[in-house]
Amino acid sequence: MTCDHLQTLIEDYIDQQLDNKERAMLEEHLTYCDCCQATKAASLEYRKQLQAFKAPKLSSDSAARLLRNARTRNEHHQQTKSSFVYGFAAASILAFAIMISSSMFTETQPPGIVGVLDWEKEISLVINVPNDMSGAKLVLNLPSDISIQGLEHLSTVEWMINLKKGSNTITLPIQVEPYASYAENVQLAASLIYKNDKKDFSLDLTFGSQNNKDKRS
Amino acid sequence: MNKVISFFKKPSKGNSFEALLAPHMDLLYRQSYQYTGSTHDAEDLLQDLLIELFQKQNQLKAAKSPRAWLTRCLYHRFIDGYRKQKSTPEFDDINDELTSNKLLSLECPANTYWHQEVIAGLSLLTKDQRTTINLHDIEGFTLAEVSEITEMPIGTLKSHLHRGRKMMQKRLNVQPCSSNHRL
Repeated sequence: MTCDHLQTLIEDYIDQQLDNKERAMLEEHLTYCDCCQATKAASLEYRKQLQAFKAPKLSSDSAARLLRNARTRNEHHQQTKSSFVYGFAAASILAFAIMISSSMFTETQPPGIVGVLDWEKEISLVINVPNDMSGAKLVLNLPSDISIQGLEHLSTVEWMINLKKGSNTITLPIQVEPYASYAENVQLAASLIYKNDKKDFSLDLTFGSQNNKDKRS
Repeated sequence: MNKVISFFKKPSKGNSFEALLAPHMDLLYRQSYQYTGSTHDAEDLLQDLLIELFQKQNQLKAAKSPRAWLTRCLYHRFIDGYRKQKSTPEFDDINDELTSNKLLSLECPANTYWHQEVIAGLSLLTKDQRTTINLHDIEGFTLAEVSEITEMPIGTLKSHLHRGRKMMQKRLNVQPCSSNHRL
């Protein structure tokens, strides 16, 4: 083997990457070749110097600040998005009929009119997911006359949620605007975003009442 | 009527995140500095990583080698930032370091000059060469470990090492310039 070729093996030799045959050949060559010995010495000196390189030290105050900032940013993000409820969506079958009954709905009201006074109710949504989905985001696009209590100014509401494998249930307090006029079925658009995937769903809301149950079911 | 049923248990507070990361902060900052070449950028890079790691505490706890796992996370964070920026660190960073270390140079001129030369040398490398030199020659990871961290084959790493070392050795053999210590 030529000197030029053996010099290319010196780095691998120092890194212990040569097989037995090549290592023996190189070691034998190094016993009499000053040029390759100098190359090996330079390479070792370079590594020694680089391993002695010391970056500036991070002060304990700076370290604490960086860690604190990371925690604060994450907690603020969770609080901003989750509000007072956790949202959810079904990863499989989502469309879920929700019955909302109102004792204020009387037979004298024309069909489609929910009531002359606004009313508040709770709705329950169930989401089934095949696996744990931590850090998912639920987005609800609300019809114009329906809002989440406490978030009346928002037509789109988002939450960061942690879904557990199987069935997840949540209750949402909703508010319907006065003189709201709906057909029998109203669709609530929802999206579930998890990592880089997004699924869109629609939830069917069925309005009914004790008195009109037979007519509307 | 307004009662909301909260189905999920909220994450427990306390300083478990801080306790988990504290032993590794020196390592992460050192590597960040080696990647970026300036204290300011190193803190930014490390801050970005910590924000990401807050959501990955369970993965860190489960890692067989936390050091290698964290190094890999930092590497990917660096690459993501590098791609967004689409430029290599400039000599401006070196000049900032020269300014900030002006007083230090009076106390320990050799170490400061050497430090600057290493950073300057690293800044001349491609991101892959710089990463490989950082992880193998400075941090002491084996080629197999570097391959796992960077997801590059060992043959590719050897090529980066060979080219990177040539440039670094050339840079580090340059004679010191007295203008570095001029006030």
